[in-house]
Amino acid sequence: MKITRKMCIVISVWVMLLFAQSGREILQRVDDNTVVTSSSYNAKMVISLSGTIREKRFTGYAEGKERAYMEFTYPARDKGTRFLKIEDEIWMYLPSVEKATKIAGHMLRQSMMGSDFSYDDIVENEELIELYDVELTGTDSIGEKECYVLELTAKVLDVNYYARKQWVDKDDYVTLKAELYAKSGKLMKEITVSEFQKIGRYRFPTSIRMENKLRQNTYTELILENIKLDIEIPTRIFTRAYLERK
Amino acid sequence: MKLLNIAWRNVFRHTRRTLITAAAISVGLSSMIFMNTMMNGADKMASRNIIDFETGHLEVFAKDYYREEGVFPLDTIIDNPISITGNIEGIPGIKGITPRAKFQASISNGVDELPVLGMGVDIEKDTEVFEVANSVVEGTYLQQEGDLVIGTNLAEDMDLGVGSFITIITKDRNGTYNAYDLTVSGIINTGHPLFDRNMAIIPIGQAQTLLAIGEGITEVCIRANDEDNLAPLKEKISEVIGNEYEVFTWKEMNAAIFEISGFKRAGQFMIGLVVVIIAAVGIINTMLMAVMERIPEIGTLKAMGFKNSGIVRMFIYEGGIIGAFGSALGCLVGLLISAYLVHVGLDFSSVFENMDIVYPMKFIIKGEIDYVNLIYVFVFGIVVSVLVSLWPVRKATKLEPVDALRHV
Amino acid sequence: MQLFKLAYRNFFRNTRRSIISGISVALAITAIIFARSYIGGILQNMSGNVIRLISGHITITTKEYERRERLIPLSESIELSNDFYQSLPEEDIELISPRIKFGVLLGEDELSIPALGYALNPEKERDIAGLQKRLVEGTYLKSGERSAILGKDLAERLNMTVGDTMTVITRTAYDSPTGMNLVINGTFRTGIGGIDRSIFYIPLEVGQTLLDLEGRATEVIILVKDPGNAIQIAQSIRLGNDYSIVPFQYNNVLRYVNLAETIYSIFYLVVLLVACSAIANTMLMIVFERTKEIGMMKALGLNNLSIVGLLTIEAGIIGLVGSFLGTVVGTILSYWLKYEGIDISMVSSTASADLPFGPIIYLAPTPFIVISAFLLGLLITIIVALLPISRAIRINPAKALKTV
Repeated sequence: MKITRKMCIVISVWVMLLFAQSGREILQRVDDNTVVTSSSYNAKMVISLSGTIREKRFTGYAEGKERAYMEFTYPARDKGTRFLKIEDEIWMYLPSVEKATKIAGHMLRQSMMGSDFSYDDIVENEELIELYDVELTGTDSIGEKECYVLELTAKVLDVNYYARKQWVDKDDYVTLKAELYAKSGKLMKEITVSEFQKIGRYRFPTSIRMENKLRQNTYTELILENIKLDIEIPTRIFTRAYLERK
Repeated sequence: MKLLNIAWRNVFRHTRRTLITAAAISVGLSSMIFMNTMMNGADKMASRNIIDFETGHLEVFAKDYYREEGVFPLDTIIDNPISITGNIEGIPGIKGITPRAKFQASISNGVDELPVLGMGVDIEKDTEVFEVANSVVEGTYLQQEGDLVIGTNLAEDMDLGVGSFITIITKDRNGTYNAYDLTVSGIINTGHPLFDRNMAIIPIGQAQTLLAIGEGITEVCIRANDEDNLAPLKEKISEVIGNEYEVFTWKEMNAAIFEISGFKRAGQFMIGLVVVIIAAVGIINTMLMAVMERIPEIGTLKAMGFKNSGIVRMFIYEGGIIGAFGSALGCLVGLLISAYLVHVGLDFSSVFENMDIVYPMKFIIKGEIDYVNLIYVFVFGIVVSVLVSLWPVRKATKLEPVDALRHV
Repeated sequence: MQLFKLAYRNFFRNTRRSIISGISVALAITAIIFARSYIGGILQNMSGNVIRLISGHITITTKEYERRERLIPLSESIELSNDFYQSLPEEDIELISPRIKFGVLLGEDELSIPALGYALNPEKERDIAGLQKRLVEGTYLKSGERSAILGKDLAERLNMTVGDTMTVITRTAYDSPTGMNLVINGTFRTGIGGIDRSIFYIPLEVGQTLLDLEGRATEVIILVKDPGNAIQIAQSIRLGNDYSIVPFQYNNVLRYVNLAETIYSIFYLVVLLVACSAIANTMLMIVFERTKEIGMMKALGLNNLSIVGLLTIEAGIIGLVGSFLGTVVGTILSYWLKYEGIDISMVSSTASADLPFGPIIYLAPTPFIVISAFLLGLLITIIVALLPISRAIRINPAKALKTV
C-alpha cells in the first residue's frame, strides 16, 4: 500500500487521539496517586496573617478520604486539641472542655485554627472524579514543570466549590496548583503544592500552600513529614471514645 | 325644659366667665390628648419599624419554613411563587404584595468578614409594601444587578461608602459556595436595628442565582389597606393559598415585641397621670370659682321661689354645657395637634447631630390617635365640670337666701 | 406701703378665693417638682445602668479595638502592667476594673445561640456592675472559680438553671478554638431585655485563661470620685496614641439616654403648660370676679397705678403662699419617694413575681429643681395675672358697679 502523506497525517492524528488522554483519565491518575488507603504523618502549619506568622504542629492519621484524625501538639495553647472526621461530619475536642463538639452548619465555613483552610475543606469527602466533570483545556508550565490544565465543573449538587482549575504535572500526575471557584466564577481559594514525595506508587504532597482569596494578605502553609503510607491503623483511633480520651 | 333654656342663656350671658372656664377645660384636655397621641406613637415605633421594613402586614411562607427565630433555611422555600401571588393579588383590601428572598451570608471588604442577613428584593414591587427605598440617605436605591444596599451601621463598621466594592459570600441551596462582587449603591438609615446593622439588600434575581433557587423566594410580603383589621384578610389569604403555605400577621411573628420595657410604660403612665391631675385641678378650680361667685344669684333664685332641685339642675345644665363646650374645643385642638403628630411627627434626629458618629440615628416619633381615648377625654371634661359645679351648688341651696345673697 | 397692707388684708378678707387660688398654685408646683424629680429618676436609672454595666465613668480600650468594636477583636488587648496602672491618676479615681468582652455560641446540642460574655473582677464589680444585688437565684461569682452568672432570660433560652454546667466554645485572641466548662452559680435580672437575654459574666482570670489573654484585658473601666469631672480626668490620662480614653458623656450607648431625656422634656413641657394654665385660669377668674370691687376702687379715687400695684401684690402674695406650699409638699413627696422609690411593676404589664431588685424608680429631686419650681410658681402667678390686671384698669367704674 502506498503510504501517502495524507495517510500519515490521518494515521498520526488517529494515533494521537488513541493514545491522548482525556481530562478524565488524567484526573483519575491524579486521584490514584494521591488518595492513599491509609496514612500517618506529622504536620507543621504556618499561618501568615498580614505578616504575623504563627506556627502550629499536629500529628494525623487518615483512611482514604473518609476518615481522618488530627491532634495538635504545638504550641502549648493548642496542645491537645483534636479533630475527628468521619465521612462528612467533623468533631472537635478541646482538653479544657472534655467533651467533643460537633462542628456543623455554618460553623463549617469557619477557618480551622485561624488558617486559610476551612473545616469544610477538610471534610470534603469524595474523590474529585466523583464530584466533577473534567475537561483538558491545555497545557501550562509552573516553574520548570510542564502541566496539563484541567477544568473541573461540578456534576453533583453538593460540592463546596462549583468549579476548579487544576494544573497537573505531566510527569508525575500530581496537582501542583488548583484554583477553587464559587458558582459565580469568583476565585475563592488557591492551593499550591511545592513539594511532593514519591512513596511506592503514590505521590504524596508534602508542602501545600492554601490562600483564601477573599482575605487579603494571608496564606497558610502545610508541611508534612514522617509520612507512612498503607499502614495498619487501629480502628479505635477513628472513634469518639478515642477523641475524648484523657 | 325651661331650666335648660335658662341655663343656656346664662352660659352665654357671662361670656367672659364661660370663656375662661372653657379655656381651662380645653387646655387640660388637649394636653391629655397630645400626651396620649405621642405616647401611643412612641410605643408604636417598634411596631412601625417591623411593618414598614421587616414584614409588612402579613407574610406568606411555605409550610414549615417559619419555624425558628434567626434561621433561614433554603430547603423549605416557595419554589413557585406565581402559583400563589396571582391569587393573592385579587383579594380586596390588599394594597401591595412583593416577594423577598432571605438568606444567611457574609460580607467581606477584603480585610474583615462579617455575617449578615442577605435579602433579595423586587426593585419595583418592594416599594409598594415597604419603606426601604425611602430610607436611602446616601447614594441611590438598587437599580441593577451588582448593586448592594446596606445600613448606616454596617457601612460604618466595615468602612464602606457608596461605590465601595465588597464580596458577598454564601452557600447555595446545595451547599456549594457562591460569592459575588458587588458595589454599594446606596446606604439606608431606617431606625430598625436589623436593617441598619445587619442587612445586605440585593435585587431578587441576583439572590435567586446566588442561591440556586431558580424562581424560588422565601416569602411573600403583603401590605393591607386596613392596618387594624387584619384577621379577616388573613383568613381569606389562607383559603386562597392552600395547605402548602402558611400566612402570619406581623403581630404573630413578633410576640416578643410586646414585652415593652416596664420602665417605658410606667414612666409614661406616671407623667400621664400627673397631666390628668393638673388638668382636673385646672378645671376644678375654675369651675369652682365660677360657681362660687354666683352664690348670691342662687340666693336670688331661691328668694324668687325656685326650688332647690331646680336650681341644682340648672347649674348642672350650665356645668354640662360649659363642660361640653370646653371639651369639644379641647378635643378639637387636641385632634389638630395630633394630626400634625401623625403626619409630620416630632423629629428627634437632631439630638444625635452633635455626636461623633457618621450617621445619626433616625428618630422621628409619629403620633398615633386613639379614638377611644378621645371619647374618654371628652366625657372626662364634661363629668368633671358637672361634678365640680354640683357640690358647691348643693351647699349653697341649703343656705337661707339671705345668707346666700350676702356671699361674697 | 399702704398698698401692701391693703393687699394683705384683701388676701384674708376673701379666704375662700385665696384658698382656692393658693391651692391651685400649690398643686401646680407640686406637680412640677414631682414630674421633674420623677423624670430625673428615670434618666438616672437608665444612665446609671449604662455606667455600671457597660461604660463606667471612663472606658479605656485600644484605638483599634474601638474602631473594630463590632467584631470584638480580642487581639486588641491592653497589658495590665504596672506602668499602665501608674499612668492613671490615683487621687481622682475610685475604682479601676479590667474587663474582657467576648462573643460565643451557646447551646445544648447545636451551638446556635449567640451570647456575650464578660470576664470581670467579681469583688471590684460588686460596686460597679452591682450584679450581686440583682441575683434572682443562686450565688455570686467567685474569683478564680470556673463559674458563671447568666441573665435570667439567657438561662431560660438555654434550658439551664443554677448548678448546671455550661460549655462555652469560642476563639482565643490567637484564633485558636477554645472552650471551658463553667458551673452556673446564679442568674440575675437587670430589667434590661438586651442584657438579660444575652449576657453572662465570669471571673476575670477564668476569662484570661480561656481566651489566652493572661495579664491582659480588652477594656478597663474606671469609676471616678466626681462624675462631673470625668471629661477632664479622661483628658488628663496619658497613655500614648494607641489608646482610646472615653468619658461616659461621649459614650455611644448613652446617647440613647439623651434621646429619652429629650422625649421626657417634651412631656415635662406639657406638664408645665397645664400647670401654668391652671394658675392662669385661677388668676383670670380672680380678677374678673372682682370687677365690681375694682370699679368701686376706681370710683373711690384709686389711680390706675395703685390698682395695678395692688392687684399685682395680691397676685404676688397668692403666688408666694401657693408656691411655698407647693414647694414644701412637692419636696417632701419627692424626697420621700427618693428613698422609698415607686414600684412601677404595679402599673407595668410586664411585671414578674420574682423580681428581687425590681423596676423601682427612685426620684431624683435636686435643690435646683426645688428652688426653680418655687421661683417659677411665683413668677408665673404674677406674669399670668398681669394680663387681666392690665385689662382691669380699663374698667369703667360705672359699668363695673352694675355687674353681677
